[in-house]
Amino acid sequence: MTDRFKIAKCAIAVGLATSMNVAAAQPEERKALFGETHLHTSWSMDVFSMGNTINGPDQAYMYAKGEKIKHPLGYDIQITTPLDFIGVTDHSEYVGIMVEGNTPGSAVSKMSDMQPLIKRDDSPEEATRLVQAIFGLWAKPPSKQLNDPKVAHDIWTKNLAIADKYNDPGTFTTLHSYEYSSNINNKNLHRNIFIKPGDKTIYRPFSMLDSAHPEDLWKWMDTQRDNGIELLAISHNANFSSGLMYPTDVDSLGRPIDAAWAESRMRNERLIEIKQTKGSSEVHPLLSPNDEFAQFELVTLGMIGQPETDGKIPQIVSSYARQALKDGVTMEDVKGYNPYKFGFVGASDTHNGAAPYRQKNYFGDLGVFNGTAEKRLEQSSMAGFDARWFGPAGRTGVWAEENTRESIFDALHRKETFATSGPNIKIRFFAGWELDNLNLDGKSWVKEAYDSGVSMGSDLPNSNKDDAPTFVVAATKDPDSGNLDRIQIVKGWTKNGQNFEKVYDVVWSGDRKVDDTTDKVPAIQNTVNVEKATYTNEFGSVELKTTWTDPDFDPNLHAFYYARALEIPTPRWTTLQAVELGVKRPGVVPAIVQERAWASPIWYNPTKDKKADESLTVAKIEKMGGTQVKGKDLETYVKGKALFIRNNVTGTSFKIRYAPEMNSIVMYVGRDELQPNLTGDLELMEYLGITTPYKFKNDQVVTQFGGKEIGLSIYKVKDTYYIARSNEYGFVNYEVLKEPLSSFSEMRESSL
Amino acid sequence: MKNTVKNFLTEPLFHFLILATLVFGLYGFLNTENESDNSIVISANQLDKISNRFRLQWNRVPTNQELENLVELHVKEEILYQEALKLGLDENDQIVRRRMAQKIQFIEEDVSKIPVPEEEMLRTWFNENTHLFSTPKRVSFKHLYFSPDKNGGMQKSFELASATFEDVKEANFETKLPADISDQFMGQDHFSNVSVSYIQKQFGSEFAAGVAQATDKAWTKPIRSGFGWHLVYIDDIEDESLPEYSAIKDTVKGAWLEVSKRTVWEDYYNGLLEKYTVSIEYDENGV
Repeated sequence: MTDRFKIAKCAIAVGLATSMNVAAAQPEERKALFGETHLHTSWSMDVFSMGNTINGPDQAYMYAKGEKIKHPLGYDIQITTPLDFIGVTDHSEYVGIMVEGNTPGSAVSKMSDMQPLIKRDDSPEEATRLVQAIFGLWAKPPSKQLNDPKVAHDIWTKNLAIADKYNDPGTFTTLHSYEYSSNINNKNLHRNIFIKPGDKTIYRPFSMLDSAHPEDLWKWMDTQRDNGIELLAISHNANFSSGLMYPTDVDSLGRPIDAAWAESRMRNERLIEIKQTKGSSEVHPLLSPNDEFAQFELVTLGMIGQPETDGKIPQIVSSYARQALKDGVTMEDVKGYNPYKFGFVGASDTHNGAAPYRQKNYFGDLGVFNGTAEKRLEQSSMAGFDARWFGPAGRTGVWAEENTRESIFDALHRKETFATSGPNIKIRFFAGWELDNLNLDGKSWVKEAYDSGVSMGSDLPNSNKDDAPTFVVAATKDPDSGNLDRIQIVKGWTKNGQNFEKVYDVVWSGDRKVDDTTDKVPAIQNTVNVEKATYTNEFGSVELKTTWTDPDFDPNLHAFYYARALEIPTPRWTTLQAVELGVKRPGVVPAIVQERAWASPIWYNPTKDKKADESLTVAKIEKMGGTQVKGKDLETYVKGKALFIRNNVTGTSFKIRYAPEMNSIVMYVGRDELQPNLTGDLELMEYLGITTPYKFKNDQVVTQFGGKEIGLSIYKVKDTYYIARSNEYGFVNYEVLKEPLSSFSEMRESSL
Repeated sequence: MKNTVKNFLTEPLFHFLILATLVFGLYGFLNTENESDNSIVISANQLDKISNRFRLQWNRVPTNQELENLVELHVKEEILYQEALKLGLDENDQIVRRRMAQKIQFIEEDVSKIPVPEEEMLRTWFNENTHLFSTPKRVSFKHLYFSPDKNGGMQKSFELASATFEDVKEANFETKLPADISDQFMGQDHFSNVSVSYIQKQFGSEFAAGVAQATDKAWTKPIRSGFGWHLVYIDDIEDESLPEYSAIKDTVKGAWLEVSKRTVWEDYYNGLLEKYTVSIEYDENGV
């Protein structure tokens, strides 16, 4: 009986809600609100196949507010800390068709395109078959039978009505949203679309059935905006995109990326989802070998709908946010536009209508697939994924004046957002030229930071001084979760088509000292007892804050900065549930996690530009009378030889051996040396003797990195050889040294 | 005369007669083998339905030829259905089972079965379910914060909070306390008129429970939150309150309908469930 009455209570809350007193609030009055920006209910096509036929949008809103609801497998689930806001984002593709088509006798159930989508039984095998059939359908040209604009319009209207019913200004906000679920050759290009509630709304969602190309989605969004409807997109699961999410040369239609493309993307895609149940998309250890915290909730081998017997391996390059931010500042510098100036959010992508946000409350996200602890801990495939890789949902944080649709949408739009891996960690990040005297002990610093600086998600204003800007960062722990270990500032910058990154520890708990050998703050004391799956808050801080000035600031270089706060180590759900069941802890995932929060970046754009004077480009080589070494000459110069090379941007020198067996290895590179993007963990590779195959293709020496081919073009100017890397925008940044670096190494005997 | 014929031709009665002849003819044909079991009767009502379905799709009445074809199709389906039933093909067919279960749910869920509520009944229901309409308990308080970061851990900050309690226990809300009596808190020091669930979001479950139990116009002993220890002065407690029925009459009616919609089906199902004995036979492994 009580369950029913709870239902009623939700519905009538609206009737009692009083309208908010909307006074023009000052920025310093903005508070952190936590919400969900990616959640599926039984209305999504694929959800039906996962056995969730019970939790629709109503149940999703009730759950978000703290009510107990049922998991699709029948047991009670309840959120640990209720949300402040939520956007339900059902897949717009064939929305509602599964329910209709699986109703025998309905018109849809008789359509030929529907036949593979009719559920035969409740087995997990049948669920897997259905998920693949659904993604197979999405991959094909739209089915005219199943894609009816009128049906989509009706469902959208119903969807808004339910959202409006639960919207309670000042207490609980429901947003208007849906998911655009584009998938090209199993490469994920999904986006969640948020429509600002107002007098007008879209007629129906623009879905992948209208076009699989995000470029067309942006065009549609532009049209809506011209009609007075404000909206924004949040891309997600770049980690499943196999390099399609953040391209640097051609767009999804194969056209060269240009300023118009970049502007269109930034006008519409303000944010990216950096963490969700199916992994994090911030960074990959292969791309950031010097970030000791990069190995966090990775799901690297994701390809949505990939058949079990298929052999494709997704590309890591261009599939993670940090690299995109770096490529973005390089494109800004070299080409004058940056398509990757996004802020961060975190979310669930649950298909149960309800998401777990904590390790201790983890109940899976995909209906029957991972609805029981036994099933989750098994070595089993779930539509191509190992369930043990998945984890609790991320959360979206916004700094907003009040808990209303207007205020939250505006915060999302101006990118004053942060993401967390699940806990309610609050993080705030500012930058400015006159913040160095800020007193963080008082309460007035927030106002001063807004007054004389910019908040996260913004550009630093121009300065005529060459001084480094000051950053202010403050994080507060989730009162129901672990203490804080440290705050880091991640910096990315660019020079001559190369880009670089460095992670700075800026404030940390306790009296730990920076380790001279690593230049890093040592790991915090680990209190996790894996046998009992417990931890304590004996170490760590409840609050961390500091001002920080970039010691390596160069006023001539484009750069971005974002902040990351880490919790102390706590047991991962796999550890907790293995202990609970008394089974072996799965070894395919770490036993502990360090939950975290990411504050949206702040960008620095130099006013002066000196790069043209120092750099060497292919065009300049040609002017100098240089020629490219090609064909047989190239092979003779490289194969079976070792080249000593200097990166003229960083001044770092190294050697590459090109074995006759067509394997190569880079040598003499220390971990402390600055390396441009897409070089990987050279120190470890050399140490372990791990080689990379190379081949000759189109007059280049081609190797493969993270699934992407990278070519070296070699040029000869008089008696000097220069090398250009294909991912460095036409710059010729490497010079072959005439003498070997070390006296005892073999001499390079080749010469043309 | 011509007109009369034409009118007659478009008369439903005429169609009926034609079809009736046709159908009876079919009966005759079909019933030659086993007259008693294999009878198919197509009523005037069914004929109307067949004709109407056509009209909905094509926006005109079917021609006689078309109607004949439709009836023929219908008869064919009927015959095959009868034969399938005889062979027991409906048993253990997932789609048939689901469809039949759905059908009974559609019938029983019918919202139109819910009566328009009488004023008196609504008022009684309101009185029985006051918790649905009450505003939750709200608290106004200020707090002093003792940070484990600044005082060397939770134990030390607890000791400090306990010692400070002795200093402030006589003070009231207006008493101006020295600024350095406690540590700077990262959030607000003063909250007015907030719900317990709001406090839980800001301070964690343990603190929210502590504040919910505290008494009005007094300092609490140290209460623990996820951030450290606190001394809390409760300035005001607004207990759960209930608006007058007359003020929220429409809301009550809406809530009643909402609940009834959900209960009408559940009550029906629970009634059915009571009529059945369900036993599950686990195998020897308990699976």
